[in-house]
Amino acid sequence: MNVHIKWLSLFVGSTFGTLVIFVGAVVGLVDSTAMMTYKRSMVAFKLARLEQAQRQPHVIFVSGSNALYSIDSMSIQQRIGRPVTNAAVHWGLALYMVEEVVKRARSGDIIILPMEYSLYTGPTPSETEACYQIAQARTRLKRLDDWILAIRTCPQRWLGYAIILKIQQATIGGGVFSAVAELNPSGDILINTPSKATPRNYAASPTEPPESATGTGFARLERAIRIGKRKGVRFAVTFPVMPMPSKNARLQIERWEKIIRRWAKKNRIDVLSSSDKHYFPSHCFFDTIYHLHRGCSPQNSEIYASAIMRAIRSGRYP
Amino acid sequence: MNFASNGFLFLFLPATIALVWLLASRLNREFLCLLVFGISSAFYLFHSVNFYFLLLISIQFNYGLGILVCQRKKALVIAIAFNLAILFTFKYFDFFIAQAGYDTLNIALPLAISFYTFQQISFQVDRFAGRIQSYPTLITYAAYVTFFPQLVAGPIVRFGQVSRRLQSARPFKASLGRLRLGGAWLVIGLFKKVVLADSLGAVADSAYTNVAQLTFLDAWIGTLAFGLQIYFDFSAYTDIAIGCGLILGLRLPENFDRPYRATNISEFWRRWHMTLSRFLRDYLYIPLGGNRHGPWRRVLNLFIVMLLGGLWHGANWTFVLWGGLHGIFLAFLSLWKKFGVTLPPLAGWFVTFLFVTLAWVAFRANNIGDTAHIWLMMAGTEGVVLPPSLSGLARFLGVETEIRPLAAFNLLNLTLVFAAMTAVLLAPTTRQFALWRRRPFAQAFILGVLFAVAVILMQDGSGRFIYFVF
Repeated sequence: MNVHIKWLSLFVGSTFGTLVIFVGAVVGLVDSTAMMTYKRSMVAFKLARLEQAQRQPHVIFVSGSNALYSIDSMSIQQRIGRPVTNAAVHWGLALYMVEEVVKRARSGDIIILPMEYSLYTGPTPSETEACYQIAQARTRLKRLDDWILAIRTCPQRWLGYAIILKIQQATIGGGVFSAVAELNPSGDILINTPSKATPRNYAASPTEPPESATGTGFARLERAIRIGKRKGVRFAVTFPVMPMPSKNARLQIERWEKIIRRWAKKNRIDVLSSSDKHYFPSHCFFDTIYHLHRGCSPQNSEIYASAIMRAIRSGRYP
Repeated sequence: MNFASNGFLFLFLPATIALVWLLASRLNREFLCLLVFGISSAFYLFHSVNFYFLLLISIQFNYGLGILVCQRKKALVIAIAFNLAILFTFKYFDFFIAQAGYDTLNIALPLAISFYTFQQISFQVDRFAGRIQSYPTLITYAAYVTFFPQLVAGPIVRFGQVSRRLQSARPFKASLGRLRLGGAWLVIGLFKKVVLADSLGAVADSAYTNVAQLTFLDAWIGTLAFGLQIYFDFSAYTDIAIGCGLILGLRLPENFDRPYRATNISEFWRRWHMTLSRFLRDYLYIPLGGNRHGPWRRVLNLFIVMLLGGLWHGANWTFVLWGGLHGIFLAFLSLWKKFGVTLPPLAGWFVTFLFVTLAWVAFRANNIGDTAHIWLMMAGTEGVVLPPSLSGLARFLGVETEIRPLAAFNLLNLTLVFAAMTAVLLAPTTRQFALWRRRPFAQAFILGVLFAVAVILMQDGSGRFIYFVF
């Protein structure tokens, strides 16, 4: 009996000891991992552009990597005659970015949200966001559940990769720690040159869209929009780029578009363009079905620019 | 309720242990079995409410027929036909009418149907053969069929393996010693599932979700990862089941014995999913004639058994192909042995591992077309594309090849697969580690660390066991 109790006590003790060490390591180390530094530099660079003291009203795109890769802000800027900021970041931080952009937005700004599949429909904060926030702004994780999510997710997502990157850096070199060198002044990514594209025979795969635009993600988005509107910011939604869909996928995408249009109407938000305007052939994609290369991103940008121009001409935007 | 979930580990299991601990000495056998049947029913109802009544009907009917089956062949035929009819209706009917070109009825697959049906068939056959001397009460029988650790995904337990305990005065009881031993099995199983199987599953998924884009290296790493994932996943489930069983006082049979160390395919099947292998051997292969009617009949029997064993896993041609491949390889080995040729152990291991790995493609792929495509990729028919991290290697070797990021192949995944393979071949088995008595406190310390890591990385709802769908 005594031996069993000792054994179980040691088991429980080592379990708790490991938990304490693990939590400490995550909270203390995740901030300095390569991936975290990369993401933070990208977010900081984009938000800094909106924090400039004297600036004109901007057109600001916020979304996931779809917009990060597939928008040529410079060409939109030239076409509409207003500064454009591409504040899109990789998936998982889009909602966080909407809130941060709204904080820095000013009257006259137009925030455009290309509504990627599932960007706002999953649980919030997403694993990526929880992990990011634990390093970046610990105070923003208000619920114990969010902390647990972050503690569990960070090591899986980033610590493992950080170790591999460190080994890779020490042996064969490489490893990106700052995103700034990969961005142009407007925030578009620069690495997606056509010469580095990996052409494949892409087709949009049908993804089951949600039944309605509800859930904590949409609730957060609506809250951010309300705050923005009070500051005199205008909002518009549009759709992300995707490969030519099959008949089945097209039905799914059309269903998603209907849901978004209904949601936009309810929240009095403009819909700038329809989803079918953003279908592209396989050779336009850079590495995945979400990212255009720079040979095709101007075409996509032209669609956005024309839609914005139409809205300005019709007097919907100041 | 998933074994690898907070709800199970921190609510359901402790509550069950506490109940059994408190009541084991106060209740008689029937009430204890009733208690465990109630707990197991709750466990099933967490998963599936709709098909709980099917489970009850199946238990009731089998119990009633079992009384008649003793020495009566007609009753045995009816009992087996009843069980197979349930299995066919819910698992295969849609598949076969779809093959015949009719519209499917979209019949949902009841949870655990493959396992409890086979378990009850084994009960009827053993009853007929006179291997069950003392017929259990209905409550004892219900507790045997539904015992929650093994209900959803096995191991397939024969009544004879647990009858002595179930029909004793105290069939279920908990103690500190049992908690320690069962807990060790459980923790190792949990670690295997959460840390190894789920990580390897992510590698396999990244390869198999976009089959059209696969490259040579993706196909190989994805398939190796899947072969390791299914081993860790299924053996983890069995470890947790055995652990829970031990904690509650019921010893369940083991299902795996380092199958990837097998040096021929016959040995592989003696080490892989052992309770299913034994079931197929005793209730199908031997009744078909086994090896009693000459080598060609043996070959045919092996092929039929493996084909049906494949189909048991699911209503899909990929499973039939997987079973058929194993049948062919077993038949080939049987003829090979007849000529008295033997391979050196290392060569035998390599050929067996290679074959098993290639056969996993059929098991994991969505359809036969994908299977063929992945095999072609693994054969290198489309050349070899290297990831940027290996571009230096290409330059060093002076090879001109396409270089781009790959879906599944990267240094992290390669390290993971290599580490998992090393563990499969060299690490002690769960039994060895759980029974490691030389340094009990080192064992407790290691298990505590493993448990903490598993709990930290465990994510509710994300890591369902592969065999839950069979």
